[in-house]
Amino acid sequence: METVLANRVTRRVVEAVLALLGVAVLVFVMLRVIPGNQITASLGTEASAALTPSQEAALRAYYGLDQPALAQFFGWLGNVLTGNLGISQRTGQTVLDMTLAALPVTIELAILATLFGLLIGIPLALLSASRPNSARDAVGQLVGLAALSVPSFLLGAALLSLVSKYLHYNPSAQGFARLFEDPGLNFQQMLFPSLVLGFGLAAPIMRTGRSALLEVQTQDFVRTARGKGVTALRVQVRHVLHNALVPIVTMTGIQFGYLLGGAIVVEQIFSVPGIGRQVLIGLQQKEYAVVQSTVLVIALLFVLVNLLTDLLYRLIDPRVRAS
Amino acid sequence: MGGPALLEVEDLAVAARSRRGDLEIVHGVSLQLGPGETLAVVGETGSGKSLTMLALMRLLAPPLAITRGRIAFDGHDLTSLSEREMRELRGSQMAMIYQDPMTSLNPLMRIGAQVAEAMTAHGVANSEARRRSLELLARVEIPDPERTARSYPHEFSGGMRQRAVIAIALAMRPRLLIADEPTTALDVTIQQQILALVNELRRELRMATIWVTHDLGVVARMVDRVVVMYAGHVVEDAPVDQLFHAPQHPYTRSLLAALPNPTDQSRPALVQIPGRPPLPTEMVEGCPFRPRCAQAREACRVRPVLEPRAAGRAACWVPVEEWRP
Repeated sequence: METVLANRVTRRVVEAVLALLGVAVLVFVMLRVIPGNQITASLGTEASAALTPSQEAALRAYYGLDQPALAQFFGWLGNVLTGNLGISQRTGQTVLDMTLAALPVTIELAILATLFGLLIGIPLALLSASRPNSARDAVGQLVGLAALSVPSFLLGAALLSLVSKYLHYNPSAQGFARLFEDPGLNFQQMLFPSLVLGFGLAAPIMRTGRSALLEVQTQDFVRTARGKGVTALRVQVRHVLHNALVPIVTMTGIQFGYLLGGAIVVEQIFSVPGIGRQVLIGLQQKEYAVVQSTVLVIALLFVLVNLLTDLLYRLIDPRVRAS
Repeated sequence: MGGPALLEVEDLAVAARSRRGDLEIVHGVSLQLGPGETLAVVGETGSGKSLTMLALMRLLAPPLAITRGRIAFDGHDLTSLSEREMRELRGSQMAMIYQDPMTSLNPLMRIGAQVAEAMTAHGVANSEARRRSLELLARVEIPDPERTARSYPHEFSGGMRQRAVIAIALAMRPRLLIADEPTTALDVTIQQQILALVNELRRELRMATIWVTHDLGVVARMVDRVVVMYAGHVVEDAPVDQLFHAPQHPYTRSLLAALPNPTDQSRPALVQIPGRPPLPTEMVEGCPFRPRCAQAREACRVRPVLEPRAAGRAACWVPVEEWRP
């Protein structure tokens, strides 16, 4: 029993390390395949084309681009393993410090967005599944489809411009307030971006939830519960929804993982200094270390969220605990 | 029977509804049950007996629905009650034991909580329900209730699960218990134990009971009357002794003949009724048993109605005296 668990943990860790290594290689290669580098990004293409060979060589040496690719890769990886994620020439900060500042913002955004997604998605799923193929179901499905089809940049931009134009309310116009410095303003600034993200998240949660609920509803134990005289609402929540949670949690976990990768578009629209913006700016500036290290941190978080999802299964289903 | 009936079902029909119209599966079932009386409903798989029982509890799931008839239970017409009123009766006045104990318990809920829920649903306080659920588990002979109440269904065997389902059904001491083939999914050795347990509890709580089964032999010793169903119709309804010794419907006679009888060497070990029952989609003109009936004649092209015969009722045109052997 314990060795089975130990084996499983070992396997998960090995899988995670391999996945992270794959991500590191992929990002490293991609960055070097796309045109441009840190010289062209900081000087512009025209100026960098006018550089003399010796100037260019000096700059390449300065940015470390003169080294062979393998040396660059292992040099960076070695640094990361010792906790040095590199330095951003643009800000003069270490990538570690930048990430430590941006990550809590993104995590807060992801948690709020997931909460909104669940708050919108699960009631919609319950509504739709309570009477399949009825008017209710049609309404639920329509909202779900809308949430799936409306792109977040459109919804975000529309929300921002309508609210600021007609209600003269735009909390994002002020500098970003961090959660523990000014919680009130922080929440106002986070509300719209997390609503926009949550709305998009509600669609897959609603669809997964609806089909899971419909499947569970036909099972015999639901009839047993009704046969006891349990109220319809309690049957739906205590028996049906509870048994439909595993697919819902899986879907939510995956979506939460994506959100941790930074909702680049939404962060940009609402000026949220999250991890998505950090990657985007790093990419624009061709700051290889910033992009590589940040993406690696994101991948690590993704793996952790997956692990957490697995733990949640064990919490939900006693049969998983037993096996 | 005597006295007012506890349950009186009249012309109950169940159909699968669809946009293209209703497909009737149970065609006007009528039956009565007095307080404390026991009734067996027998018939082959697909004869509509389980659907009839689910209809009595108003537990049919769409697209199945009651399309016709009246269910009088203790003065209420169940077909006209609101879902809320019906919910109050379910579990408290009428309860059911289901066919498959492997699927009829919530896999994510502890056994004790599932038993207690049958009481809290009817206003019993949590602490009281918890205490009584332990007593109930002990009463259905589940060992070490304190510990087993905290178990999940997957930690139980089929027999243990069915005991838990029985505890749930009896939690509020209902006046009517419907046992829908409670032993078919169990090992033979467990079947007898479960039957004996339910029978004992039924007597103790003086519950009117309907046993649904496809095996006449199983309940012969435990019931007062038997209703025989065939293809969604009641074909015979008779006191148990008469049914076994003087069946009034050719189908009942065939069922009895098909009972294995290891002591009777003159008969083949297994007797079959030729053919198969019609599907709900197949229209049979007249008596539904006619294509398989040894007694069928011209008159059977008209559907027979359930009429008094001997001490019971039967739906057959051919008098018993005229039956061919």
